[in-house]
Amino acid sequence: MDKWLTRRFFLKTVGVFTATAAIGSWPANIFADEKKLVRFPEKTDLILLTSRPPQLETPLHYFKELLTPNEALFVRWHLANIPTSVDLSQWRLNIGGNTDRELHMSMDDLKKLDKVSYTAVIQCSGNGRSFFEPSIPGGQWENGAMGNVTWTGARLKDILNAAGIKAGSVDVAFNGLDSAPLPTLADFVKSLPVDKAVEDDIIVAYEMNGAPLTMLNGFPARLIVPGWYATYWMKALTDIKVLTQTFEEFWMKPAYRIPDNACGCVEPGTAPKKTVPINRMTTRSVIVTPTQGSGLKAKNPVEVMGVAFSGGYGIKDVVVSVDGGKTWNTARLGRDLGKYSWVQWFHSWRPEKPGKYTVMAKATNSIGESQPFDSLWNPSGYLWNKIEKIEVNVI
Amino acid sequence: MKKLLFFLILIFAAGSVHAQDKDAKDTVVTGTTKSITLPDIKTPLKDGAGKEYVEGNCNICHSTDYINMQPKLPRAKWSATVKKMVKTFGCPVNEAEMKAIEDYLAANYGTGS
Ligand code: HEC
Repeated sequence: MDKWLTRRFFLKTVGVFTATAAIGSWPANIFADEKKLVRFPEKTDLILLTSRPPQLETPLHYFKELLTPNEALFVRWHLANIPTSVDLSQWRLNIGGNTDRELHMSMDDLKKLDKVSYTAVIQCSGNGRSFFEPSIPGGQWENGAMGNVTWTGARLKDILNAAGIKAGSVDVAFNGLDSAPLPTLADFVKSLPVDKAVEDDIIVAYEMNGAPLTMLNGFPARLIVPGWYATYWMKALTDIKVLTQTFEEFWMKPAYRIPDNACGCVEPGTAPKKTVPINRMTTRSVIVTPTQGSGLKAKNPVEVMGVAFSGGYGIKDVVVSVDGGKTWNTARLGRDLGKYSWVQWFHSWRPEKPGKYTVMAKATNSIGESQPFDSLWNPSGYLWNKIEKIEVNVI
Repeated sequence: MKKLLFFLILIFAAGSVHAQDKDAKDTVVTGTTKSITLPDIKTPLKDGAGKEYVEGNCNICHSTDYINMQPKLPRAKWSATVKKMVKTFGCPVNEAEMKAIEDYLAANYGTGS
């Protein structure tokens, strides 16, 4: 298997080599890059973080597209026993706990409910963790633990109302088909406050980009909590339980928590006094082209391009700098697919003189939330949204 | 040049044959059931004293590429990580084995501090 990996990776590298040889410029760190590309079922070549359970990152160039193809969307599981076979005639979505009745919905039942569809960014809490200093153990994601997908499914609210939420409810907990290999390890269960759970836009999705979910992205159905980090978007969902108490098992506490203050940050290397469960995504922009270390030709036009999104408030504007932040230009925004989607931004640039340039991009959302120039640190490496600096070489 | 070309064709041919039989077999739908077969990927750990304790215990719940993936960490961070695996998650090792694992990680995947 290892041999196959190396060969595949070499294959890619050779591809890059011949392509760049033709246009005469070299990506700077082509051989320094030790990333391993692997192919999993229903997926294209993705960057390997871990294999069991799979954690696979999307290569940056896929973000040139407004919607992330299903085969390129990142993969992130927590527990090694992940579902590899699902019989839809047996699968049920069970709803119970503090409800008037218990429901055991089949996929057909789910599809009979009002069908809702929208585009939303899915982003892992730890996206960008590898950029933190001092470094933080955990999934060493760069920018590829995110994607922009059109989700289709039934409203969680309609499902909960069909079961009837009783008075005194506090949290709603969600469980999926994955399980722990040892009984000492907590099952992956997540919860939302009941007031959040009944918001209109939270859905149980059975389609991504118009097709059934891929197995690795949560077939046959997953929770979508648009605007919030993907830790709540339970994959291969089977159980919804309404609770009369705050749910505080391992994956809600102490895992997946942020400092309880306005920035969600503390002095690097220190521990927060008080924490809260991670929730809404911070505002951020990611530069897709040009890439770090690329070589450009003086007086040749280049399109500086990227994506920007925020935790459910759309993007008001993106400003771009090509001189390390001295001057800023308003970028042109692409098609608007709604407040949960990312927006593509473009800035045409014609570098006049040879030299080193630093490209930066800063997004602001419709309620004024933006990005910091210096990284805000927290012990788990969440909420990464520092303004990027991409160095390019103009010859 | 001819030699290089031949070499390239060989690699491309080998790659595409492999991709074909993978696509054909790793996802199967029969009736109402969808099944996938996960690839068996191994990322070797560095050789060093104590490696056997890591390979014997740290792959129970997850692949050991969880270790390779980490940035170089100071010993204190490796100790905290091993402690979390044992005390919080239940990795079945005794104190002496924990120590051997910490030493291995600090020596092979550490910052030297
Ligand atoms: C009882 C199960 C279990 C065993 C055994 C185990 N781990 Fe883990 N380990 C986990 C879980 C659960 C995670 C978090 C997984 C995730 O979020 O993807 C994890 C994550 C990690 C990480 C990523 C950093 C972090 O803190 O999340 C490292 C490194 C790691 N383990 C190393 C080890 C080492 C070294 C050993 C052997 C001493 C070991 N593990 C044994 C369950 C285990």
